[in-house]
Amino acid sequence: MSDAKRRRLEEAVATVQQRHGAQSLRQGGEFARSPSIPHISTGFAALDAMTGCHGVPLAAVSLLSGRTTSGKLTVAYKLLANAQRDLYGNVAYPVGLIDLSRTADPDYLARCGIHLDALLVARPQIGPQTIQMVGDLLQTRRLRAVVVDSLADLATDRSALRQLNAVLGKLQQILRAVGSTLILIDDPRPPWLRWLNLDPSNQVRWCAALHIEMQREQWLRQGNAVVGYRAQARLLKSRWVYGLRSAPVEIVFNGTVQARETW
Amino acid sequence: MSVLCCHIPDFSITLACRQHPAWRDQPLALLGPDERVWAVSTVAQRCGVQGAMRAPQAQIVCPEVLLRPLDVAAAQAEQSALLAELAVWALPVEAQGWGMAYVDLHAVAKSAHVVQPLAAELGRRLRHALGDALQPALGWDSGKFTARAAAMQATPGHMRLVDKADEVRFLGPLPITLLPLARPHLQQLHWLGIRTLGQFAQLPATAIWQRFGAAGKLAQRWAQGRDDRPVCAASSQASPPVTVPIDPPAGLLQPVVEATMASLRPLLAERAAGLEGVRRLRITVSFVTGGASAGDMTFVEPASEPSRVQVALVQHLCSLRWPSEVQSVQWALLEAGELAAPQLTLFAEPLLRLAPIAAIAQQLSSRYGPLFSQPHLTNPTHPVPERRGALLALVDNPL
Repeated sequence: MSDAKRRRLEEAVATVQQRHGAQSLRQGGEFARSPSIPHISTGFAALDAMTGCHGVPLAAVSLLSGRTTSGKLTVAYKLLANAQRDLYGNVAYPVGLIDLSRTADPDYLARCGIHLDALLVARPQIGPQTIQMVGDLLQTRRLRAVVVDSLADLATDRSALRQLNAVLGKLQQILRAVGSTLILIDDPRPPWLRWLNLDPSNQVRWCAALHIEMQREQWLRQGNAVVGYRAQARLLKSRWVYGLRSAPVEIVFNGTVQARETW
Repeated sequence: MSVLCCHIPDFSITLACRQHPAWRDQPLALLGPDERVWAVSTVAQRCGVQGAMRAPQAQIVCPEVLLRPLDVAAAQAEQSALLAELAVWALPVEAQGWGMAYVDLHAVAKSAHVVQPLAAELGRRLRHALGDALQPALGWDSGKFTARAAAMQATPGHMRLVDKADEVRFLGPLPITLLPLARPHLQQLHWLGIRTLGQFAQLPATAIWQRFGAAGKLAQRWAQGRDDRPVCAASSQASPPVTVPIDPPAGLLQPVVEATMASLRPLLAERAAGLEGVRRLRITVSFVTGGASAGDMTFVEPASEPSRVQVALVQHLCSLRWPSEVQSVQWALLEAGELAAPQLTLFAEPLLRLAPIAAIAQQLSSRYGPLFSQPHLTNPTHPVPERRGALLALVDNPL
């Protein structure tokens, strides 16, 4: 670029910066050096490493699916516990749980590390109103994470599911504005349902930034007592990494629910 | 030395509430001249509003917050009244922002039983001059840091006198976050498990010096009750103006900011080593065409971090109209002050931010009914896991 052109460019930049502030124009290189994606750790190092964003992303929808006793709810509760904590490990943020399955147990929530005073539990009747409530809870801008347990229960009301599919885009906009995360829990669906366009949560899978499927592999025993279980977390979708990945996780019940690293 | 610290908690907020009693029970934030939050009421703090936030940020955090401009003239008048009352004894007085000042009693009183009647008389006079709402808390000790800590421990209308012999016992259990150390240093201490001034005071001085430098060494002396800084009037803190030539003259922001910051950095480093920061800077920008534009940069809390000063400088320069290229920048330190201890932001009290849970439930229950609850462990040792806890409704069912 010639000197005259460079000078004209600098003058134009100076004019814009003076009129609209120093941050109004920035060099493209500054964006390339953007910091890591805002996230919440899952509490399982192997799982964090697999997702590509060191956990579950903030300002986006994430999906956790798996059969009963696969560990998806435990991972979700661990996420809530981590979402409550700030950089120094202090409980600093409230979180929400929409318990459509009516299975939230205070004892298990506490053993997963959730600070109960900072947890809001809602048990609405399943219907279109449920989806409005999710939006309203996020729009309060005070909850750092909201878990919906689960989409399978929501799918029992077709109108609620239609409402969810209709407002998913709006929910994503709200999440981007408030910086919270929405974690949806779902049952696994066979792929042929998707091929026949019969999968009720197909739209959610399409919109989710992260989709992890949990599969229980075996119970962990000490003698005759069950002390935990081993599960395989499969990454079905992530905005930051490509291809299928999986990580083994072990969940041990010993007073508190702990993650045992297997790699 | 013998230092009396006079501290009026929430000076600006109390003053505003005194003028407008209707604001008393509402979340209130006062906006300073730079359109940033200058002072926050306790209710607004619970909702997450913090000092130095912009008005829209405060409204996002707490939509109900009452944002009102700070009545600078009224606050200045009350501050002048406070300083005038303190100056009656003709002793050295050092103002530390609004609502706080040190008085050097070394010439008249050196022991607690002599200071007590003097402090009581001063408290009565201040209450008479400023009113019941603005009555101060008084702290006394042989050093400024301990006197300040004592004043902050005392409730308004009371005094806390600390004898030289009791200094270590008084300071020992206080949180380390009272020290105005840099945030990374406090983080390191937190990770090392050093939580109180007593623990910090007992660390080896050489290790402190190696890890935290001169500021750490000074902070450790304060934590040990050895603060020998003199009480000096604010006028003595001002420095002569420094002119920074911009050669060649520049019409862009970046070279002007870089040159000014290069000149300001030694001053900031010197102040930071003394755990002090700049409170007010006067910036005069001279242009090639002959005009000049002067303005003051005032910080809500004294600043010694170059990044923070740079952000303020950029904002200040952006707010000016540049008729031509800048020829020189002149800065002068008008007011300095002790760095603020970051105890309110670093290790935040969980309950301060957790209050909104009930508020969220209350807010949404008008639309959705009493669906919201909070889990509680009612009997954590019950043999049946399902009986150990219960979900307690956050909003009463009207039926």
